[in-house]
Amino acid sequence: MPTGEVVAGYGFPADASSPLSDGQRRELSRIVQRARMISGYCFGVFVGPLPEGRVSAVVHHRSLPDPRSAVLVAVDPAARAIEIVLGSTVAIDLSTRSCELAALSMKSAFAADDLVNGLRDGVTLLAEHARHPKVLHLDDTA
Amino acid sequence: MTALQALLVFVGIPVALAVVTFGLVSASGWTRSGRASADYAAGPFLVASDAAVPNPSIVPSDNPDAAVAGGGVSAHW
Repeated sequence: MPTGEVVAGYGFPADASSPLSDGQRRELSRIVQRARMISGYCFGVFVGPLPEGRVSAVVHHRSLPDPRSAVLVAVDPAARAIEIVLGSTVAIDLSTRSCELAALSMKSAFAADDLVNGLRDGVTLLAEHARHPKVLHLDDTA
Repeated sequence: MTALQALLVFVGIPVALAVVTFGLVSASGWTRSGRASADYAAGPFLVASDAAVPNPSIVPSDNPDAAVAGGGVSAHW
């Protein structure tokens, strides 16, 4: 299975100053790639400062490949903030209620200082809720 | 039972248990995985999966200025 791509311009994975271990970085790559396999949408995870809150998260969302069909989960551990940004196409399949549920799931894990597992639970939940039902002929492999 | 044995039994063992318990409780904070509130400013990162699978049921927008972000939520913990 291919691993997630690191978006250019960010410290991962070459930046050794990141507090996450190599294993945790690989785990995050697997998480986003698995979410993409589940839902078909592009998933991204950002961990770092969000000085302008949601505005900063939207800027990072635009750096994802095909942002209209992408979901970004951004976490600022210092500010204890979570931002989930949906592309306009993803918003058709993924409701605000599902995002709130994912945020609640992550909040409970983050409160226990479990960053990676919280992201895994939240991203997986979003991917499962974003999975659109199969459409006759359109989803046939021919 | 001598005085030394009594001291070891009634003071030494409880103190040793307290030290072990404190160590086990604090252990998660000593490991990297247990530190979620560390300073991430030095190494922000963004990891993304491959691009989305093409969905023929979605009509692509002709308007490049149309909103890219279409929803989501904000939360704090």
